[in-house]
Amino acid sequence: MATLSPMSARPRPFRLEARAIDWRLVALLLAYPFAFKLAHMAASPWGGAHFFSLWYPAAGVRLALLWRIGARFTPVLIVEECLIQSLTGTILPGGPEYLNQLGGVARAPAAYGLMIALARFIERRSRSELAIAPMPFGLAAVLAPTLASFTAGFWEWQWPGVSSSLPTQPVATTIAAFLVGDLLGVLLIAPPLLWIGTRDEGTRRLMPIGRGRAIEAASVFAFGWLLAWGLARVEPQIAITPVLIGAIWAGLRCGRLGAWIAIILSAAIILPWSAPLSASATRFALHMGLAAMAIATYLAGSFAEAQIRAREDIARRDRILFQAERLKTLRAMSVAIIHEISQPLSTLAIETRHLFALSRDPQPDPAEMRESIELVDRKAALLADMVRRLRSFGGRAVDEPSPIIVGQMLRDCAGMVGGEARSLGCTIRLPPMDARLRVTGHEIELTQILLNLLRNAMLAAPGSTIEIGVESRADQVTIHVANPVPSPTPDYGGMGIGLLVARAIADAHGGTLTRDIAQGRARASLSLPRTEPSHD
Amino acid sequence: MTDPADPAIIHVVDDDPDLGRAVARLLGRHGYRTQAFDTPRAMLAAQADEPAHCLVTDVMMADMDGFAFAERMRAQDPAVAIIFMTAWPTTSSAVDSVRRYGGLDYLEKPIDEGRLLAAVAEGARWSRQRRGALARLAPLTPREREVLHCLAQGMSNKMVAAALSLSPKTIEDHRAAIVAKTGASSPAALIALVREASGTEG
Repeated sequence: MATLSPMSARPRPFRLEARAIDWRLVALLLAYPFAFKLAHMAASPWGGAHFFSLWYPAAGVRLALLWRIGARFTPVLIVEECLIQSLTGTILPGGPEYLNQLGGVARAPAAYGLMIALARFIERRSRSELAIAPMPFGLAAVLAPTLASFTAGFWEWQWPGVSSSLPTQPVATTIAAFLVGDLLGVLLIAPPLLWIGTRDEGTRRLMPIGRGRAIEAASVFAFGWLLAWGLARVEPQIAITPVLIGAIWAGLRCGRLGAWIAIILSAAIILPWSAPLSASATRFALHMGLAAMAIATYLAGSFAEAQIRAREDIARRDRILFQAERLKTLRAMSVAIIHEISQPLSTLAIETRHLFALSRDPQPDPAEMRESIELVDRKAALLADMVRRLRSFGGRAVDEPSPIIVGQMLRDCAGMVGGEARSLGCTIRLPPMDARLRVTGHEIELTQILLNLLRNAMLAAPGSTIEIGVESRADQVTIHVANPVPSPTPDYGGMGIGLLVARAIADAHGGTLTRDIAQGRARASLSLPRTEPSHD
Repeated sequence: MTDPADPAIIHVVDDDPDLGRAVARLLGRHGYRTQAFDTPRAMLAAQADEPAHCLVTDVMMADMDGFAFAERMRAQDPAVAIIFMTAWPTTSSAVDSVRRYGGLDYLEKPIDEGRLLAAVAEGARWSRQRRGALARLAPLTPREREVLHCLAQGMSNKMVAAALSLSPKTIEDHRAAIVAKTGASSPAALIALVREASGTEG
C-alpha cells in the first residue's frame, strides 16, 4: 500500500554484509559527525543557565539518520558523537570528568536508538493504529527525546558533570528544557530531512496546491501572526496560540508542504525572538508552543494527504467493483448474448455450406454466389462488432473519460439487451435523438448503468414496453428509463446491489441517479453533466 | 425427397430477415418451393393465398412469439406441419413445442442442416397426407362423420346403430355413402383415413 508520509517509508535495510559496499550509507555515516556538530552549535543561542538549549536541531539530524538507516547503527553514531565532541573540545579528553562527560554524550544517541528500535518493532508487529504511518515515526519523535531527557535528568542528578550548579536546580526543569529542545529539533529538522532522503515516489509526492488554496491558507496564517504580534506586547506567554490555529489550518488545506512552510516560518520568527529573551518562562512557553505547533501542524498535513490518498484508493477500488459488477451483468446476459451470436452464426453456417456446394458446381450462378458472399461478409462484420462491444464491456481496462454521443450509447445498450428483451417479450422504445448531444465520462461504466436500468425495467415488467427518454438542458443531460408497474405497486424499497453500484458510478461522473414511481410507471433517471469531464 | 413437378411449399419465418432468407434458400436448393417472412403476420396473410405444407419458425420474435403464432396457424390451417427453431433452447419450451403446440421438431440455432432437412421432408409428407385425408372427408355430412368416427373405433354396424340410436339399416346406408365419397372400402382403409385426417398417422 502507498505510504502516507515520509516517515512511513520503510527504507530498504542497509546491509553491512552486502557484497558491494553501500557508498550512500558510508557517505551518510561520514557526513554525520559534521552535520551533528553544526546543528549542535546552532543551538547555543537558546542555551540557559541550567540547560543546554531550548532548540536542539542536532537531535533532528540524529533521529532522521537513525530512522533512515536503522537502529542497529546506534553504536556507530555513539562513537562518532563522542569523537567529534572530544575533537572539538566540547569535552576534554583526560579531564577529571572525562568519563562522565563521555557518558553524557553517549546517553542521548543510545536513548534515541532504543526508542527507534521500539517504534520500528511496533510498526512491524502491532496490528493497532499505532502501526499505521505516520504513527510509528510520531512515536519515535516523541519517545526518543523523552527517554533521552529523563536519562539526562537523572544522570546529572546522580553524577553532576556538565554544570556544578545543577544539583541546586530542580531536576524537573532540566528534564523539561532538554525535552523541549530535543522535541523542537526533531520536529523541525527530521521530517524535511527524511523527505529529501526518501527514494519512494509515493512518499515524495506532495499534495498539489491550487493558487486559491495557497492564498487562503497564507491569509489565515498571516492573520494568526498578526494576532500574535498584538498579543505579544501584553501576554507573550500565550501570544502564539492564534498562530497554532493558523498553522494547523495551513496543514489541513495544503498538506505536508503547507505544514512545513508554516512550521519553518513560525520557527524563523519564534527562535530569533526567544534567543535574546531573559525570562525563562516566556522562552519556555514560546518553545513549547512551537513544539505543539510542529506536532499538530505536521499531523494535520499528513491527515490531509492521507485523506486524499484514501479518496484515490476508494476511487480505484470503485473501479474494480464496477468491473466486477459488469462481469456479473455479462453473466446474467450470457443467454441473451448466446442468442445474439447464434443468430448470425446460423446464417454464416448455411451460407458457407451453400458456397461450398456452389464451388463444386461446374457452372455456378455468379449472382447467387455474390449474394452469399455479401451476406457472409455482413454477418462476420456484425459478429466482430458484437464481440468488440462485449470485450470492451467485460474488459479490465478502464477507459479514459471521453466525449460520448448519448444517442449512440443508448442504441448500443438497447442492442446489447435486445435478445433478453425478446425473450421477456419486452419492446424497447428509443426516441429520436440529437446526435450532437454528448456527455463526458467512462463509456463502459455509463453503459453498465444503462444496461442495469434497462434490465431492471424489463425484469420488473415482462411483456411491456420500456421507454427510454432523453432530456437535455444547457448544462446537463437526463436519461430516463421507464417501465409500467403492475398495481398494487410492488415494494421498490431496495434498489439492489447493482443499482447501488450504478449510483456510485453516477456519483463518480458528477451526476445523479434517481427513481420515482408515478401514474403506474416506474422511472429511473440518470443525470449527467453535459460537456465537462466529471472528475475534479 | 419431393416431386419436382409438384414441390412442397415451405414458409420460413424469422425476424432476422437474413437468417430467414438463408434458411429459405437452403430449402429451395433441396427442391422445395420456399418463401421467407420477417413477421408471423405477413406469413399468416400469405397462407390464405397459397397454403404452405410446412412452416419453419423462430420461437423468439419481437412481433409475436413462435408458440402463439403456431396456435394461430393451427386454427387457420390444421394441415400445416410446424417446425420450431430457436437460439435460446430450454427443456421446457422444447417439450411444450411438441406436446402443446404440435411442433414436429425443435431445432437449435446454429441449425443442424441434416436434421432440418429431415424434419421438413417429414413435415411435407405429413401435411400432404393430412390435407388429402381432410379433402376426402370434406364431402361427408355431420351424421356420416359420426358414423365414420364410430366405425373407425372398430364398432360393428349394430353397435353403431345402438350407440347413435338409429336402425342398423340406416347405418348401412350411411356406410355406403361414406365408401362412395371417400373411396375407402375396407374397415382398415377407413381407420387409416380417420387417423390421417386427425394427424395422428405420420
